[in-house]
Amino acid sequence: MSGWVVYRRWLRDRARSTIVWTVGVVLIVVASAAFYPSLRGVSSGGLDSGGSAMRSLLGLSKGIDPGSPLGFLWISLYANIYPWMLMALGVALGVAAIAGDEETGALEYLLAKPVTRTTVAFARFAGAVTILLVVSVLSGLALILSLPLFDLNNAVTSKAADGSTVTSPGATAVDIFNGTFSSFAVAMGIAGMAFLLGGVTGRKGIALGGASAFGIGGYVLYTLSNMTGSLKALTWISPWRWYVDDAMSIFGLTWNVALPFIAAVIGLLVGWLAFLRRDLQNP
Amino acid sequence: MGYLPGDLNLPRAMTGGDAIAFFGGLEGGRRRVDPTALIERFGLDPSRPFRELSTGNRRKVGLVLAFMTDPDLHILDEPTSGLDPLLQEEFRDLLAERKAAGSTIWLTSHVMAEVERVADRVGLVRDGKLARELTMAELRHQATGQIRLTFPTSVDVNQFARVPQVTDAKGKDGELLVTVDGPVTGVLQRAAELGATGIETEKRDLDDIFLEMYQAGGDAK
Repeated sequence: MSGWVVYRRWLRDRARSTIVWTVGVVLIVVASAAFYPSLRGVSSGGLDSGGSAMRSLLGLSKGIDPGSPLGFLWISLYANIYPWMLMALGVALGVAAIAGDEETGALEYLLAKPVTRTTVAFARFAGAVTILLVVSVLSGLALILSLPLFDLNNAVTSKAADGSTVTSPGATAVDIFNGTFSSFAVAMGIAGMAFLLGGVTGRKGIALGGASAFGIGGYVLYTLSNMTGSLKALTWISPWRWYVDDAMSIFGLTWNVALPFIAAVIGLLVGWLAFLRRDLQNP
Repeated sequence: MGYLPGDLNLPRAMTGGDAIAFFGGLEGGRRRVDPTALIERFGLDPSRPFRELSTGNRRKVGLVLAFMTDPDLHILDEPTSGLDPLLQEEFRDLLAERKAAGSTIWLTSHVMAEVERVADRVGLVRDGKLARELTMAELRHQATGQIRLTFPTSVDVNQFARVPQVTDAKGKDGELLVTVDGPVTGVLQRAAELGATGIETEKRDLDDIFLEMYQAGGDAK
């Protein structure tokens, strides 16, 4: 009962920011899709002049054609800006769950009431998942509705360098689901890390900085490793390695999508246990 | 438990009404008191978000939250800080009502008048530990007043040494500070006899008493 009260209140405190985030992400998704008609059929040849560095930064692997509907969505949304937006939201929510309120002193007052730390931790993590889910689902739906508006649902035939013709399929709702779901998964993983750091330290700055550094550092490590060929062995800690390599909005979901969910569960459990075993930080 | 922290912090966008509904929801049906009466009593505007509230208005929110149930124990940290005198009086009346109804009240305060009005026993806390516990009678004894007397000419402090209730007298050149434990009639009578031209009374506050006791404790060690 008290868990539901805490969950509902936490969502209500974030209702306005959730609306702003949702509208922002939906606008960016639709605006990105709107560029497709003017870029349709443009081959990836121009990108080759940038070599492996450019292709790595754009997430172009396994012969993805940016002139095709799926390739375009990948290069303009799913390989970079869309997961970044969800990850930023995930970090903000993971930090807010414990460390944010603890640093302002609001958590101390709440925990003086008849509610346990366990209830607060789990109810707020559930609130973070709900908000991430709302933003992901609504932005994914907006993109699905945008597909026919911008011809993204139609197959495209183009000429390859050797003169042969290649037909690329149009994007479907399943493709959008796969891309959105894998981005949601990455955001969940990093939200779990922010929650863990907040639960262990109770410090907003550490949780925010640590989780952000993990996301950004992982991206830098992955792209630099692709460009230089060194430090490959370390890229397994980067969430981008499996996300970009698997390109699930194009090639379909793989079992790797479970990895960030597992990381999120570990973050929740470790953060919760640490939160149970320490004193609250003074504001 | 009805709890009021020294510095109440709530989510910035939460209004007083939201806070009452939320924390009331966490209490469930446990000894709920109608918060409307408390809101009116403290003159709280429940529609304003916490970020827009002054220190005094935040205190009002905290008091309504602390008293909207009827628990066995209230813990109140500097409850009247930031409240105007009328509301301080209102708060003391409310406290007296809860006390009469059988609630135990733990209250921290630096205001002697507040402690005198509501407390039966006083604990002195040092380094987070209860250093000493006193009854109100013992505390009153510690809080004896001082009278500052001004004379047109130099007066010997021994003139007050044998006056009833005087525990200490010091000063020089027509300025004396007399410590009195009890009725001041004798001191005033002697001051009049000696032609005093000025009288100022001082009552030591809790800070002074605490400092004196702590210093005494430190010396004893």
